[in-house]
Amino acid sequence: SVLSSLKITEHTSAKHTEKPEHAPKCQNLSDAQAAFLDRVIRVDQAGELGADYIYAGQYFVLAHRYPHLKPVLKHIWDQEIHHHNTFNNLQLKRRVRPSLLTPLWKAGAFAMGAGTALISPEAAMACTEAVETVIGGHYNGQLRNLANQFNLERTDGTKGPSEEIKSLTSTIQQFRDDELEHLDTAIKHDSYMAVPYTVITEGIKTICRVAIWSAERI
Amino acid sequence: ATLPVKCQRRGLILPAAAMYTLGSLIFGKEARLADAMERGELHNKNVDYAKEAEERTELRIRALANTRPMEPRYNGHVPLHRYEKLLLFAISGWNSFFHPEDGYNIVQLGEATALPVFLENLKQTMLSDSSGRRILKEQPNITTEILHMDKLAKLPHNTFGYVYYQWLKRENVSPDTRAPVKFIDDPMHAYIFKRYRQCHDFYHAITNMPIIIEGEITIKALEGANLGVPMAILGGILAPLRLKKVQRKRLYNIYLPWAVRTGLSCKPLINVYWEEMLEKDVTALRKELKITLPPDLRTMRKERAALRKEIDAKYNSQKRATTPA
Repeated sequence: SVLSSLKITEHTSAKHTEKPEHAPKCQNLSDAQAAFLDRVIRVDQAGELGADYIYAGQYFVLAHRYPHLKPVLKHIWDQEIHHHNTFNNLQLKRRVRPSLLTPLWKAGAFAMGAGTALISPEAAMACTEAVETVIGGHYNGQLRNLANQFNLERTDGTKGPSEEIKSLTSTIQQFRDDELEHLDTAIKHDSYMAVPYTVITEGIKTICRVAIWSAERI
Repeated sequence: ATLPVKCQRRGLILPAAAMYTLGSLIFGKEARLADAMERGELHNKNVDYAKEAEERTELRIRALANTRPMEPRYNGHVPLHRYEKLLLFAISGWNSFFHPEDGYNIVQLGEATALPVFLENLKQTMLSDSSGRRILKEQPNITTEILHMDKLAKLPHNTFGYVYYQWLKRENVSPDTRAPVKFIDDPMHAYIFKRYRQCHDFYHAITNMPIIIEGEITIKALEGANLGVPMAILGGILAPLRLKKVQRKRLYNIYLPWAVRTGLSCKPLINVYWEEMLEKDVTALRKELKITLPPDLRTMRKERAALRKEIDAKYNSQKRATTPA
């Protein structure tokens, strides 16, 4: 069925990057920095899970009725599955508690994707546009914090982010670019033609912001 | 019959636990720290937190300084409004009555009651005497460094310095423990009050009074009668009221009359340049200042304690003899 593809398939084996023997070490993260990193991974995992389910819903409704949208949706969905898997692995690696509302995110996201797709393909695209706008902004905020607040002291006297932070930053940068590409795709596929456009986009943006706030904490 | 009670209890506990968990997830330490990180308040490399804290402190100090009625007139001066002085008097008076053993309360009460009228009077007393004038001019400060404790210990036993040293040792105090003056507005008045405070221990030593509460009240009465210090007068009148009956009787019969008589008849003690009297013979100094020694408070207490023990023992032995085994 369509849901079978939601299973985690991509098990990236823990890559052991060769480190030089006397690589400088970074000071430990403060409690606040650790709490912030936990929150970042928790909310991003929940968000990507949500995105995965939204596109599952859209694909479920639209793929057979509008064959010209099928490859477009498939491309977006595949990217979201990759994002989802990446954050699942990060979550396991850093032992971050997943959002307690995960069942709600799954049901809600699938319902949101399928529901807007049932209105019209344009409404589905408006949904994509709204979601990706909020997600892009949220990722940018996280990147700003990662850039400014992880200026750790190293054993060799220099200052800067640790390798872990650097890799997380580049991951988030990549994903942010992907999400903004989805936004462009949605606009190209007539998201503005959705009726009622403002109600759909503003409603979904609000839902996304509330969901982000909750997934960060609960 | 027990089942509904159980269900009711579970119906209370589970929601309470759930609410607690939810609350700690939203308002807990982790959440608050992460929120602060999101606002960029903790580790932001573009912000100089030390400088910001310094600026905040400076602003706070400036804001506080703007609430004062005048600029500070000497080092450590805290100018107070009239209502603040009244509050200081009320609160420190209340505290002093119930906790006279806390020196901080007495210090505050002393400054709250040190009216300019009294201090001006004391200043005139000092100005009318040659050594008093010298003290005002030189403004000496009594500390352990100036007194040289080891030197005092080597003085002949009949000197005032040795008596003072012995007294310090017996009472286990140090001349450095005098608090600085904060709330008196005029710098000269502040100095006079500080001088009075620093000389307090010399009064104890020359009259051979211990620092237990009865000794303190006696010395306060002496200061009140001799210098007119308002706090001392208040202390002499009010402090005996909270004592035990025996102590009060002893004060009213022996020590307070002695203190008032001596205070009124001896020379103004504020005019004595105590630092220069250390090598003088103590009996000669007492004679010069017209001070007579009161009965020793410590021996009197000891005698009473011994008497009481004796009576108790007698009573107990009699009781044992009369009660059948």
